[in-house]
Amino acid sequence: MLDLFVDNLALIMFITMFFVIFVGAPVAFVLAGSGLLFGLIGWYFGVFKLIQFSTINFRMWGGVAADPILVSIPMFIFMGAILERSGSAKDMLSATEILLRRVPGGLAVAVMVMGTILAAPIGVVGAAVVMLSVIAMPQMLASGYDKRLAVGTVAAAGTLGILIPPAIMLVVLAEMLQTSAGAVFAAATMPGLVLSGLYLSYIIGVAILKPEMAPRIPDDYGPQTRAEFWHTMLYGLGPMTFLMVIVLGSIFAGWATATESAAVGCFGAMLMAMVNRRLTLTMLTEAMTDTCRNNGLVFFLFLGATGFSFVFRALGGDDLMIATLAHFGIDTKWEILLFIMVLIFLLGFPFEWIEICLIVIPVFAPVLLKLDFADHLGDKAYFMPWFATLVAVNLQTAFMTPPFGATLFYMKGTVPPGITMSDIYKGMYPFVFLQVVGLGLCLYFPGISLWLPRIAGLLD
Amino acid sequence: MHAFLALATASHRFLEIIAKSSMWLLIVLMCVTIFDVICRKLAPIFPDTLAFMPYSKLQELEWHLHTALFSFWMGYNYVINAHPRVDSYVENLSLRTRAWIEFFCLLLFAIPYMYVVIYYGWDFWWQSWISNEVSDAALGLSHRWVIKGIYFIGLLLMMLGLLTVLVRLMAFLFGGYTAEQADVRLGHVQVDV
Repeated sequence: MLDLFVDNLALIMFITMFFVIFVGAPVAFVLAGSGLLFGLIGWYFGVFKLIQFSTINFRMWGGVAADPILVSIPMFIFMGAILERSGSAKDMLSATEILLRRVPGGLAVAVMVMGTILAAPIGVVGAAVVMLSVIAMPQMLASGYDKRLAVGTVAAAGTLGILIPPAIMLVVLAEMLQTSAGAVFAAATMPGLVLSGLYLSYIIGVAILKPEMAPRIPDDYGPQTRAEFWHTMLYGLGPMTFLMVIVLGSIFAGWATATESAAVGCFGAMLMAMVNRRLTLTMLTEAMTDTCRNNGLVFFLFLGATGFSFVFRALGGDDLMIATLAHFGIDTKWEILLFIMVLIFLLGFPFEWIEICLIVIPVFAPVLLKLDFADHLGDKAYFMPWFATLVAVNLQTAFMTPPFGATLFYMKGTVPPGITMSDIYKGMYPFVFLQVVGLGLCLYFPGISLWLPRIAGLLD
Repeated sequence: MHAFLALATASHRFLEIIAKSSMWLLIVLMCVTIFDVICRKLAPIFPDTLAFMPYSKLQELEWHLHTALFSFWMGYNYVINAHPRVDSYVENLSLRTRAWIEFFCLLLFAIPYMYVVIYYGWDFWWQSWISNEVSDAALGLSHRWVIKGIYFIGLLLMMLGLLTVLVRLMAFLFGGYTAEQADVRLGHVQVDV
């Protein structure tokens, strides 16, 4: 009995951590504490040495502090924080609306296009959903949109932010899977656009078939003269387009690393705020406080997770995980992949993406490394970027799936009082369905993910 | 208890000052990175001056600055309750129950873990100091102990944050203070990343 306990210590540790995490204490502490506790138990049974705890600092140093890629995290958060406060996003939404006023369901289409484009520079789920909801929701409801369609559109558009580069989640995923951030960025671009395309066709379809759900924007809306029209376009779309080109363009063209392009993006965002005369000291301090707060939070989680995953590995967790999966009959590569996908999807309800990336990915990474999808992908080296996109799409789906998806709660906090939680749930269903279709497409046609990194030469 | 709470307020203020003044490093980080990118782009045009800029030093400086940024913020983060929690199953419990949970979590998990990390962290820094450690790269920065020291200070600040919250929880649980008086913050945190 005791032997069984000691042999399966890593597995017991993983399961214990899972239950303890629900008591609502800070996640980093639960991770760190269970690492420490099971390290001590391991020491008592002679399978772990106390001096091994000293490795935590070396791991934290080599893998987190001295990692040039992770420097892009505060920079991207900072860029988003400046954009959010400088009002450039609002200008852009009105410009897109005017541009698309003759398209069926123009307002919803504008929100979706906006979500897709804005996703790139913001890269933060909460901020994008809240912003879109605050700006676009009242307008959609006022023009007589069906409230469920309006809710679904805003939530789906906002969550694209975690998928379309340069999303911070992709940086962390790339780091955890030990693959290049540039390749993951490129691999996630097309799936993001495919999803956005699916949403758009759905919205336009609804607008054509049931015009009462998505009324047209009246012709007298927006600027009436040509000069005024171009002025709105230039000021609305110009800055964001410029920012997206410098950030993504510089990565794909190989001029700058992900980190450097993030800094350039920050500078661009500040420049835009300055042109709009919105770059004040108050705004800048607020943006910096927010950035540092979120950055500190991410990295403290890293510190806790380092302790957990190190002890897990030291107790032989890697091999144990593979053996356990095999014991339950999950041993072919597709079964393992689907198992991990379902697990990540289910975990996406109670957890934020960052916890999933830091807990689940390190535990399953060794299993993943043993999988050989060369027959499906064409080359073994293509696996990690492809897998990263699958995880990203999967997590994005989990975020908007009722009843626990995080986006739904962001929505609830910002929608007008007339909209109930049940409206939000019902509004999400069609989009969740499209999301599952999108995930299926990415699984079955890996070319969707791999085409862009391949032509950009980021895979070799 | 009152004196302890006053100490907690003082250490909160201390952590806040460190955090709020170190956040300007964000701007420095941005400028250093942009300077590095621009110089490297222009190097072929001005080979005499720009080709010999200390690029590896600049690139190391980037992650040095970032390490400082998060080291100085971790402790403050916990004091202002900016840590993600999975609390959908406990949010309906009373504040007192949740304070007990947090109290035990601090005593059993967080403080022992930070103690262990700090215990070995001292050695980690000391080794760097006595060996006068420099960068692994031939042209990298020297004085590696500076940034390792900052990382170690970050660990100490984290411990200070933990103790601050511990005092506040104790004042609330045993000292008869209300949650507002003791400044206990346990609510849900939205993670904006």
